[in-house]
Amino acid sequence: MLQFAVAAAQKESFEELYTTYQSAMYRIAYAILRDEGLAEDAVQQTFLKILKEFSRLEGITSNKTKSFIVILVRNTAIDLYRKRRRESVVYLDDLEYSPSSRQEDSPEDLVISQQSCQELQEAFRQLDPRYSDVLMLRYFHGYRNKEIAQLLDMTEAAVASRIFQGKRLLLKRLKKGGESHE
Amino acid sequence: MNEPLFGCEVLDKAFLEAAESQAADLADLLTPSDQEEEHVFSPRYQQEMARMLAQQRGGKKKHLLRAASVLLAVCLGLGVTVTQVEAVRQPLAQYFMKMTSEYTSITFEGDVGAQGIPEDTQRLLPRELPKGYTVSDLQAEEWFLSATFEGEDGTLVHYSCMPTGGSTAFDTEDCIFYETQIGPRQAYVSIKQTFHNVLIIMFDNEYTYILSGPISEKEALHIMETVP
Repeated sequence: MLQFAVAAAQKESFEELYTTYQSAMYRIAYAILRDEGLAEDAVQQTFLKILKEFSRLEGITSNKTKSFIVILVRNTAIDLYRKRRRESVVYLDDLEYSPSSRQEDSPEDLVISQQSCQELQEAFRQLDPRYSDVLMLRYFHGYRNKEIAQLLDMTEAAVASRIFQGKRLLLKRLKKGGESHE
Repeated sequence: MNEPLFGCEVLDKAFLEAAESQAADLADLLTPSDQEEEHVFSPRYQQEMARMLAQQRGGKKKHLLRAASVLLAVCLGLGVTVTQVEAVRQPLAQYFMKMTSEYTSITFEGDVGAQGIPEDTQRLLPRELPKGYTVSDLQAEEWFLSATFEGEDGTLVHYSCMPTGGSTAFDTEDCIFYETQIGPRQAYVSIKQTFHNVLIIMFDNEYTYILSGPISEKEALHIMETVP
C-alpha cells in the first residue's frame, strides 16, 4: 500500500504572483528611482528574491505576502538608487550597534497600559521604514538576521543594528508618551 | 510562532497588532490605481522575466520528474532486491554489522566542491556516510539535490532533497513503520521486513530529505542526523 505524506501545499503559482503584482511593484520602484529602466531592474531583482522565498510565502493575496513584496521592492529600489548615485551610503546608526556598551531602554521601565499599547502601534506606524522593514521581516515574517541581510543586500551587522535601533526608538517613544500622560 | 520583540506579553501582542496593521497598509500599496496608466514593460524586461518564468517552470517539472524517478528507483530497488534477497542478505548483514560504528565524513574542500556545487546546495548533503561509502553520483541545482552513495561492495544508497511542498510516496506494506524526530526535523521511517531496505523521509519547513537503501536502520538514521 502506498501512502502519501503531504508536507505542505503550494497554493498558487509564482507566475500568478508575477502577473498580479508586477505593475504595482513597478509603480513603487519608479516612485523611488524616477527611471523606467532602473525601476524595471528593481522589479526583476525583487522577483528573483521572491522566487527564492516562494515556498515560504502564504497565499499570494494575503497581507503578509503583499507586505513582504512591498518591503523587498522598496528596499531593492533604494539600493539601486544609492548605487546609481555612486554613493556609498552608510547610515551612521548602522555603525553604532553596541548593545553591551549602551544602556538599552527596557520594557520593564514602562508602566504598560492600554494607552502605551496604542502608542506603540502609532510609534511603529511612524517609524522610519529603514527600521520598521527589518522589524517586520524579523518579528512578523519570521526571517533570521542572515536571511534579512541577503534579502535586503545588507550586512548582518547592519540588520542587527537596525533591529536594535528600531526597538530602542519604539521604547523611547513609548517612554516619552508615558511621561507626557503623567 | 514568531520570536517576540520585547519579551513582554502585552507589548509583544501590541507589536503584533501594529505589524498586522502595517502589513495591511503596505499591502494597499499593491492595489492597482485606476487613475494611473498601465506601464508597458520594455522588451528587455519581458525577455528576462519570460526566461525566469521558464526556468521556474522547468525547475518545477524537473523536481517532479526527479521525485518520481527517486520513487521509481526505490520501488525498482525493492523489487530487484526481492529477487536477490536470499543470495545477498547474509553477506550484507555481516558487512554492516562490522561497520556500524564507523563513518566517513563528507567535506567540500576537495573534488565535490571543485565540481561547482553551490554552497546553498552543499548544506543539503549529510556530513557522514557509513565507512567505505563514497558519493558516486551527485546532481545539484539551487533547490534540488540527488545523490547516490556507493559502498565498497557496490551497495547503493539513494539520497535526494527537494523543497517541501510536494507529496512523497512510501511503502508501508510488510514494513515496520514509525514517525520520529531527527534533530529539529520530523521524519517517517519505513523498514521493509521481507527484505532489508530502509526508507527515511525527513522534512522541515524548507526541504524534504529522502534516503533509501539496504543499510541498517541505525546507519540510515545516523546519515540523516548529520544533515546540517
